[in-house]
This record gives sequence, structure tokens and C-alpha cells, in this order.
Amino acid sequence: ATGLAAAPARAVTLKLATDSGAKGSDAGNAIEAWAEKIRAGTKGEVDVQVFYQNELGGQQEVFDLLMAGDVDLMLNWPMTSYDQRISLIYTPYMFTDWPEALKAYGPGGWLNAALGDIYGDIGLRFLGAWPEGFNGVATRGGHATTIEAARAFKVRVPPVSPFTETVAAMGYQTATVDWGELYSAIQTGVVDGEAANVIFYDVTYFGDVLTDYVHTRQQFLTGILTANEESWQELTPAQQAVVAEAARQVMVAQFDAAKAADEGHVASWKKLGHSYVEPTAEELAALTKAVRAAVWPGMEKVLGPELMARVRAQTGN
Amino acid sequence: MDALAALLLLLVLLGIGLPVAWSFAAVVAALAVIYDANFNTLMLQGFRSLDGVILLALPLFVLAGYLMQSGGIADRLVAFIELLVGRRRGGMGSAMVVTSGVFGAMAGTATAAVAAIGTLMIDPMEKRGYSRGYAAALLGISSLLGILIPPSITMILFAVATQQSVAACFAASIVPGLLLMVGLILFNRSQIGRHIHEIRSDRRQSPAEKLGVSVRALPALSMPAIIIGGIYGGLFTPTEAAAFAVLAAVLIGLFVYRDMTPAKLRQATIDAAETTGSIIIILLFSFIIGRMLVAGRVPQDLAALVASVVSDPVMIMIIVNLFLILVGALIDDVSITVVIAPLLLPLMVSVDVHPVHFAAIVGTSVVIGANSPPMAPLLFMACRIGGVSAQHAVGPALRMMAWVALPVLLLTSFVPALSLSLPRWLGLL
Amino acid sequence: MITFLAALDGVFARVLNLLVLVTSLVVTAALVLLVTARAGFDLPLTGMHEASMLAAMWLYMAGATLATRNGRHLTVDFLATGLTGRRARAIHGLIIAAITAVVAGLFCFWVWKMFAWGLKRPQTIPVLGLPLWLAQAPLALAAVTAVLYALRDMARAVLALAGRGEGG
Ligand code: NA
Ligand code: NA
Ligand SMILES: O=P([O-])([O-])[O-]
Repeated sequence: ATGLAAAPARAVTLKLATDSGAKGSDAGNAIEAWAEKIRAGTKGEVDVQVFYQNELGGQQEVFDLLMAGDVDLMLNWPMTSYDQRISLIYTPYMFTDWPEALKAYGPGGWLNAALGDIYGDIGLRFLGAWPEGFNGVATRGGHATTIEAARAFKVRVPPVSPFTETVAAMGYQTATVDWGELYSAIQTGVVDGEAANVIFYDVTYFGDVLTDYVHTRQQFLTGILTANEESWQELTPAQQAVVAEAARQVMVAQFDAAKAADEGHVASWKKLGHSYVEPTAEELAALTKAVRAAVWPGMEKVLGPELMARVRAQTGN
Repeated sequence: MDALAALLLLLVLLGIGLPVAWSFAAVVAALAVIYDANFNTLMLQGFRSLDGVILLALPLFVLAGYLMQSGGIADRLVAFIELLVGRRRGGMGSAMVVTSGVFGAMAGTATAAVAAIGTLMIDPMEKRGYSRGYAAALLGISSLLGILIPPSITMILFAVATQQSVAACFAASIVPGLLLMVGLILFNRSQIGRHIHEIRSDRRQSPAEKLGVSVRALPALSMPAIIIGGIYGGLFTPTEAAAFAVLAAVLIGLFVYRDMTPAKLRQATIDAAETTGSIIIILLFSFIIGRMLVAGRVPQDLAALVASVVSDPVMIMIIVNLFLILVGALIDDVSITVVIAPLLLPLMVSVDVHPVHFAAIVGTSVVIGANSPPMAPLLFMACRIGGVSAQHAVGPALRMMAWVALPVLLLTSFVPALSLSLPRWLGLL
Repeated sequence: MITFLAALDGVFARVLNLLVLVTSLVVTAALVLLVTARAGFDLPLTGMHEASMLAAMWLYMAGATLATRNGRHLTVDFLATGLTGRRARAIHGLIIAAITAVVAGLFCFWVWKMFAWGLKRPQTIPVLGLPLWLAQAPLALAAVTAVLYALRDMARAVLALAGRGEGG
């Protein structure tokens, strides 16, 4: 090992991709910043090729490439096909305010540690979170803030556990529609809205067909900064340190920026003349109680008793 | 350069008569060497590209097409279309174009239109004196009305990739779509007596006969009504509509026309599967090729090269058009839409082209790209369904593109109002 | 020998036909059920997209295998139709079949690598919870049969060159 460590570092090129964010988007800018910090920190010894959303394929395809080491670094929105436990991140109502969420995902936070272990088991290195915010329910022609009122709305959820279970527990009728057909499905009334995303996606893609956004905060959505473990091992310790530190800086910057960005998207939504609704504290408490009771027992089967015990302990349940 | 060598290989293999699917597979092999591919994910990527909900519309509309044929729906529909336009000059050709346009308003993809209309109309057109190659070419090109007239999966993909309003992109391509439709009808009429020796039906039908034909066509005409009504009525999505087309074709064939028998149902399903399979296997390898070229940064580097050499807006527009056509000849329409178009967008915006205008430009360029060999999936598919070899269709297809699709592309490019007026009028911009 | 292979091929074709009929039914019925439940009964049927796609993958590849078996893959055949002599056609057929065998062999290799990697990093089909290789297996069907039928076509071409008929 000494011989290797002493050898002059070879020039390396890393491939860095994101599955959600074109050039110029917040996520696109984030991976560019990450790349630039790596180049600067290694004095050009490590070069980084950047690939934006869809350049290397769909979300699942790019994640495959990361798993195989074809992509070395990634800002990805977690896929659960390789390990169901990654849906830990989607456990509903673990918290509903920013400070708690950031504490859990930040350096030394309990979710940060738990995800680090899970990623390690599938050959990835967890380098930090890149939060977007709390999701909600976007509908057209009215909205609901209670379980009873929600029954009038049929909303699209991604076909991934526990999204369906969560939104059903909130009272909505759920429906499966492919993302590519969602716009016209809303337009023609196949569904009345969608219930999985932070408001950014609704203002960006559905601003002209949806009218109401209720910030129900069932999940805190975050991208993950990650590396393929084998690619990682090919870097020198000094290079690893630079990549990790650069990721930490990108994460910290997003922790500062995310809440403001989310509020900016809320403002754009209102500017379209749409209604934006925060449930009252009682309404939120009622949703939290109902969803935890309905969904968490099922989560235990997916996550295993140990992880679920950690969730319960950390959230005081 | 390496990519050019791979392209040359493709042309040679296609030329000596290796099936298209295996020619593409050979190119995958060559690119795998050139780009030092990771074999852990090479086929996994191909698998992923087939494993999607939206692609389900393909086998289902192919099946619906075969079922409409064997269940007697096609006969009644064609009799009715002949009644309407068959006696006019170029009637059957016009009917194919109009049907493609109507079908385009039901389906989000062009492949679905090729499948459904090809099985219905190519045989009757041959009876009227059109060559099968010409009919397949006309179908290949008019099928692209399916992506210009909403709903359109291509426009959705573009809007998502470039963060534009889907509704605005939908509206932007409607007028170019109508232009393409009118252009193809006029072109077809102009070919009568030159390349087409039309056999007009000379027998006049009595009013009673006409009424009979029309009434018998009603159940058949209910098919598009079910599909369009179901989609716009909010009952199902375009993909799900394909499943209902199958269901309706079976039920109408069995219980209304009663031409369908269990044996015919079985045979139609098997024939449809063979057609679907031969298309899918080409899609599989062409998806992988597209992925490898993009990962090898071939299209990206080309775009950067253009931007570094030229700055005049008109020149840039011409170069972008040429580029879309050339790359469109080489890679599939989905890759063009989600990969190439977003890369060219900054270049376009820098010369004051509105992104929604560019959506329409990309849409009309795909009409050409998807029918330009060597990678001409729509043309090849039309040939496969029409049972004619591709070389008979390439000539007519090139003429249609030169006389109709290219002028539509240029008009769309240089007259922004064609694509922007409608979205503005609808308040989408 | 040839009789035996021909009989085997006949049985195989029956299996393919059955597979195609069943999967076509599943692809269609899953979507029809999904819509009926959603629009008629406000019920979310989960797993219908996944079931439809799983069946579709088998349908795609069984269909591709039928096309291979029946020699119905799309071809640009102006060279082949230009060849008139019996011998020239047989030689052309032999060359095409040989290239096909090599390329199909590579197809097999890629599919095999996909499975090998899937053993190392197994995945599941979302919602259904089934192993992903169930949806990938049909690719192996298409690849392996492409090699076998290319060998069949080579044998036929050789027999034709030797002045005999089509063989089995
Ligand atoms: Na359409
Ligand atoms: Na092309
Ligand atoms: O982007 P989706 O996860 O909502 O499909």
C-alpha cells in the first residue's frame, strides 16, 4: 500500500450525473458546483464530466449506471429497486418542519447515518443530502385539508411504497398514471391532481392545469449526493477528501438555499393566481396521527424492525 | 470519427441484406469496442428502455389493428372511406393522410398510427393502383401527424426536458401538423398519373347502397369515437386507450359484425405478436446505440462545434435544421427530443428563438428524421406492416420529404407565427 | 436427426404461440381492469402497470422469436432480390446466416453479462415484489433462439449449395 500511496496521483476523470435537473436548474447548478470544487480542490488532477437529467437515460437507467460504476458520482433521487430499505427516506410524517429535517439529514444526523449504512450495503458511498423540501397535494378546482374532504379527489401517486399507502391514509382516492402521461391525464380529468412532489414540480410542469396546492408535508424530499464505492476506492485518500469536502459544501449550501427556493416556488405558484394552503396545526396533527397509524406498521416489514425502532425512537413514538 | 466508422458499418450491413435488427446489434458491438462499454449495464439499459408503460401502446395498437382486420371492422371502414373520397383524384392517399391525422388526435405516438392504419389501408391502396412502397412511405410520414397533433408524447418529453409548458408545446405544433397534412394531400394528388396509376372505382353506388355502407360503418367508426371520447372525456390515458381499442375490436368483431371466430382471434394475436416483436428488437438495439453515442458525447460535441463557428441567426437556424435532419437520420426520435433538442436550445435562445417555437421545429424535424435511413424506425415499421421491403419505400419517402416535410420544417423555422400564434391566442405564453 | 429437430421446432412454435396468447391477454386485461376499477369504482388497483409490463416483455421477445423462426425480420433486400442464380442466392444466404450467428452470439453474451451482474446486484420489480430477472429472462429467449435459427439457416444454405432441397 505504501508504494501506491507514494506514487504520484494519476490523472482521473470522474463522471457526475443527476437524474432530476437540466442544465441551469437548481440541481444542475449543484452538480456543476460540485464538479468545479473537485477540479479546483485537486488542482485539475481529477477532472469531472457532468451529465444532466436524461442525458444518460431515465432515472432508473442512470441509477443502474451509478451502481455499475459507469457513473462515478451522482445527485440522485433515491430508487428502491436495489434495496427496499431506501424507502426509509419516504417514511411519512417523521417530521414536518425544516429544523428537524435538517438536523436528521445533516452531518452527524440520525438519517444521515442510517442511509450511510444502507447505501454502503449496496456498494455506494453516501456523501450527503441535497434537500428540496416537504411535499404536498396539488389539485385542480378545489382542495382538501381533512381526510373527509380529501375523499372527493382522485390523485396520482408514484407506484412506489409507501406513497400510495400514505396518500390513501390521507383520505384521497389514489391512481396509477405514468409520469409521461400525467399532464394530459390531469387536463382531461382522468385524475384531479398529483400528491407526491414539492411545489417546484407543480409550478414547473402543471402550473396551467392545477389550481390548488395544500402543503400537507407528508414527506421531506431530498436528493442524495453519492459515489460508487469501487470508483471511490480508486481515488487517492487526498482525492477522496477533496470529493467528500466538496459534497459537504454543496450540501451545506443547499441547506441554506432550499427553504428560500421552496418559498420562491410558492410565490411563483401564487403569482399564477393559484391558491396555496397551509393546513392548520390541528389539521396537520390529525393527518400525522392517521397516516402514522395506517402506514408505519407496513413500513416495518420493508425496513426491518431495527430501522423502524430507530425511526420511532428518533421521532418520539 | 469512430462513430462515423460505426455508421459506415451499419450501411454496409444493411446493404448486403443483414436484417435491420442484427445490423443494429452489430453496430452496438462496434460502439462497445470504440467506447469501451461496460457490459454489466449494456443490455440492462436496453431492457430499461423497453420496460416502460408508454411503450405498451405499441403492442396494443398493433394488436388492435390486426383484430380490426380479421373482425371485419377494416372492411366496413374502408368501404366507407371509399364512399367518401374513393372516387376523387388521389382519394385513397388523401384518406390515409386524413385518417393518420384523426388517429393522431387519439394517440400520442406515431408508431401506434403506423400499426393501426397500416394494417387497415395498405392493401386497399394497392388495389387502387398505389405501389406498396409508396403507400408505406406515405404512412410513415403521415403517421408523424401523431406527434404534431396533440396529445403527443414527443412534445411532453420535450417540455419536460426543457422545462417548458406542455400545453404551449402541444399548441405550437398543431398548425405545422395541419400544414403537413394539407401538403401531403396535395403531393399525393400531384403524383396521380406520374408515379401512381390510379384505378378509380367506376361503379356508381345507389343512395340505398350508400346508406347501407354508412350504417354498416357506424360500429367501426365508433372505435375512434371510443378512443377520442375516452381520452378527452377523462376516462383513460392514451396508453390505456390502446387496451380499450383491443377490447372494442374483439367485442365488435365477435358480437356486432360476427366476422371474428376463435381461430381468427388466435391467428391475429400471433401475427400481431410477430410484428410487435420484430419492431421491438430493432427498438432495443437502436435505444442502446443512442445511449452510447450520447455517453460518448458525439451529438454534444457536434453542437458545441456549430456554436463555435457561426453566429448569424439565419445561418444558425439553417445549421440547426441541417443538424436535426442529419442526427435524425442516425438516431431515434426519442433521443433527439430529450437529448439533442435541449442541447441546441441555448444556441437557439441566443438568437432569440422562443423555446416553444423550437418545440415545433423539433417536432417537424422528427417527421424527417424518423423516416430518413439508415435509422428510419417509422418508415421501416410501415414497411414491415405493409409487407414490403424498405428499398421500395425509400424513394417515395425521400420525394415526400423533399416536397412536403422539408418545406414545412423551413416554414416552421422561419415563420415563428405559425407555431407561436396559437399558444399566444390560448393564453399559454 | 433433421426429423427430430423439425419435430422439436414444431413443439417450440406451439409453446411460443401459447405464450403470445396468454401474455397478450394479460397486457390488455391489466390495463382494462385498472381503468374500470379507477373510473367505475374509484378503486386504485396497484400492480396493474407492473403486471402489464412484465407480460409485455415476454410478449415482445416471444414475438421477436417467432419473427426469427419464420424469417420475418425487417430486411433491406435489394441485393438478395438482385441475385438470380440458385448458387449465388445460397452463398448469400450462408453469409447472412453466418453474420447473424456471430451477432446473435454477441447478443447472448450481453444478456448473459446482464444476468451475471444481476446476481451480484439483484433487483426487484416495484409493487409486485418479484425478482427483476423474471422480466429480463425473455431477452435470453430471443438471443439464444436467434443463434439456433441462424445455425438452422446456415445448414439450409449448405444443403442448398450441396444441391439438395430445404432439408427438414
Ligand atoms: Na397525437
Ligand atoms: Na432517421
Ligand atoms: O417523478 P415521479 O416520482 O413522481 O414519477
